[in-house]
Amino acid sequence: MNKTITSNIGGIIFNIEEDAYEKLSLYLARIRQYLANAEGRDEILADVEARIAEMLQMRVSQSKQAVLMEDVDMVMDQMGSPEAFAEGSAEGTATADEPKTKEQSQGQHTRRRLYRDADDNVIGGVCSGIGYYFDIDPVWIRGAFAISFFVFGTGLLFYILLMIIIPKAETTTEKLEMKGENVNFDNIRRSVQEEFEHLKKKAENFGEEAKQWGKRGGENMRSRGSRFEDNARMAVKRTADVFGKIFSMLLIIIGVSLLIGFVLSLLGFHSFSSDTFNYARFSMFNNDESYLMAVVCGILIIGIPCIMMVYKGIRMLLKVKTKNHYVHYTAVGLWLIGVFLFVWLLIDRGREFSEENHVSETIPMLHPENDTLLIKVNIDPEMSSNGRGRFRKYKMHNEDWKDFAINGKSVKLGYPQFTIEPSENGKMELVVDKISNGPDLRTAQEYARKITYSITQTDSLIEFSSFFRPGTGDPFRGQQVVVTLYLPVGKVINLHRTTKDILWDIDNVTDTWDGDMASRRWKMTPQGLVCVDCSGIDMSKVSDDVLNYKPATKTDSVLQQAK
Amino acid sequence: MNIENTKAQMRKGVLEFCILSILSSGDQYPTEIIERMKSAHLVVVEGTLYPLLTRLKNLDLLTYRWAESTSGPPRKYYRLTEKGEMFLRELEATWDELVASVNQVVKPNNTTEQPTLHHE
Repeated sequence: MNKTITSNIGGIIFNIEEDAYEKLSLYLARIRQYLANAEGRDEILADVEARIAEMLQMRVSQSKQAVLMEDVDMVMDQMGSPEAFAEGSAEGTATADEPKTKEQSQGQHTRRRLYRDADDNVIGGVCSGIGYYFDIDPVWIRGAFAISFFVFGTGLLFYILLMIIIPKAETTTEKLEMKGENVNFDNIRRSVQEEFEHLKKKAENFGEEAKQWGKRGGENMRSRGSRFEDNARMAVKRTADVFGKIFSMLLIIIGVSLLIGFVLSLLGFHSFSSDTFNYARFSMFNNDESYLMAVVCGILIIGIPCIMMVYKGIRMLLKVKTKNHYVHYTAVGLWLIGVFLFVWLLIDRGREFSEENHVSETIPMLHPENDTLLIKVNIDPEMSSNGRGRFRKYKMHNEDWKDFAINGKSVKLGYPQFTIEPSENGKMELVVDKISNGPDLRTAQEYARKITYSITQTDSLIEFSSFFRPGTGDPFRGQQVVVTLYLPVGKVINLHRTTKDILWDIDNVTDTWDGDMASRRWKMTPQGLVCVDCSGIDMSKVSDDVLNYKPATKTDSVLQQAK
Repeated sequence: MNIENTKAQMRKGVLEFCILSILSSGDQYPTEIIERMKSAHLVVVEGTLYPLLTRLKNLDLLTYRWAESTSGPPRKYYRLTEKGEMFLRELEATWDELVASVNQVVKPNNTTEQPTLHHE
């Protein structure tokens, strides 16, 4: 059983089998090409069609209604090859060489097209198709592809891409086109030569014209102008062609490099991956499922446009004309799926962070013998920046984390935040606030409770750990530790230089930046903290009242001593 | 230059002459013309004929009329114009001369033998 097409041939309706139809229409198209230069071409073609209709009419009957391949073969046999038409049309004055060149130049119009050969395939017929196109034994192309499969698998990707891009030769027309006129070096050389001669002639004509134009002083300006316009149009067309080629190559190059960069960053080549990438992986997609999802989304959202760029580029370069809407629809569809998936993933992840809760702990501080407290941060040598542990620092919204690789296991530690407030009740105490987000309040509190952080006091020395640890096995849920020291008025605090990293938003009368507060001593006054070792800090805006504040008690002498 | 081209060139002028000659005996449509030429082994395929007919028509040597056909689209029946008839007469004269001259050059022996063949 075969599909038939209804076709109007010479004014008569025929039901013609698809294959046969294609063969016949290709035949007529070829005749048209061979008659390109003949006068009355349309009339000849009409006559030919009428005759074909007559012959086919005689071959169909009540019992055999469809036109079959064999009928078309018979018709073509009787009508003769397209060359025979050229023989009849060539002018009587033609020299012996002329029909030959004519045939050749006409032959070039039926240029070979790139198709996949489904009849001679190992995978998708890509190699044999390319083989036909360049007139090379497909074995070599297959070999080259086989080797490229092992170079990061790029060959495989490229092959799949080509398989999608290059249409399969399905109809007879396409198969004939696939095997059509050679695109070999001879032909290329000839066409280039012709092109040059053409250009040369054009240039000569143009020069001649310009000369004549000058002589005649603008006589016949209009006709010359239009010829000039024609030349200009040709030049523009050619330039556009060249730019098209360059553009398509650029598309391919950009697409391929983006793809390679993307694949490499997925594979974990860190030099290619940005902080954002790592941050996202650390903070949002920190379990295997969500990370996998994010990668899939990335492939869809970033990969597909890249692949489409390469696809478009190759199509433009090879001038593949056949429309393949499915590729576009599939690409757009997959991309949209990627976007939707990503949005869903973000919402899902966001839900994990939706509630915030905290656990507070108040540690009363012993009043030290003198009124100066020394705050120090103990840096675990294993975890220090200078230590051997490999770490990466993440800049978060308002908290910093470090990712350590200790004994080959990744450990994520957060920087605590330390701030100082005036004590309202005269007691000196530390409040350790452990905060976490979570999908609900209870879970958030659970995460917060499991955070471990230690602070020790020995007389006037308070030692902080450099990092806090989220609960073992707990995911990142925005855990924070905020330590607040409530300092009674008159007390002096010495911030050791090691506290630099944990000082956070400490109010002081000089509005000194946290980072500059370390390595100095500060005194609590009713107005706020005032520095004691003020070198390098602009004191001009601070009123003398504050500077000269002296508590009623004997702290005066202590200060003197400290100085 | 290859042999096919040379042959084609040779045949071309002759084909026009033959078509005109066939049409001198009355109206014909292309299929009839082709039948006659085929029987004389002059033309193998129909394709060659259509461009020739169109060209002769455009040179005002031929004209045609439409005729309904029982087995397909209407047919074009060609016939000679006055100009065509004159053209044909000239060609006939040229042809006789040409055959004689060519034979004299190409086959000097045959030309002498031919009369004897006729006698037999």
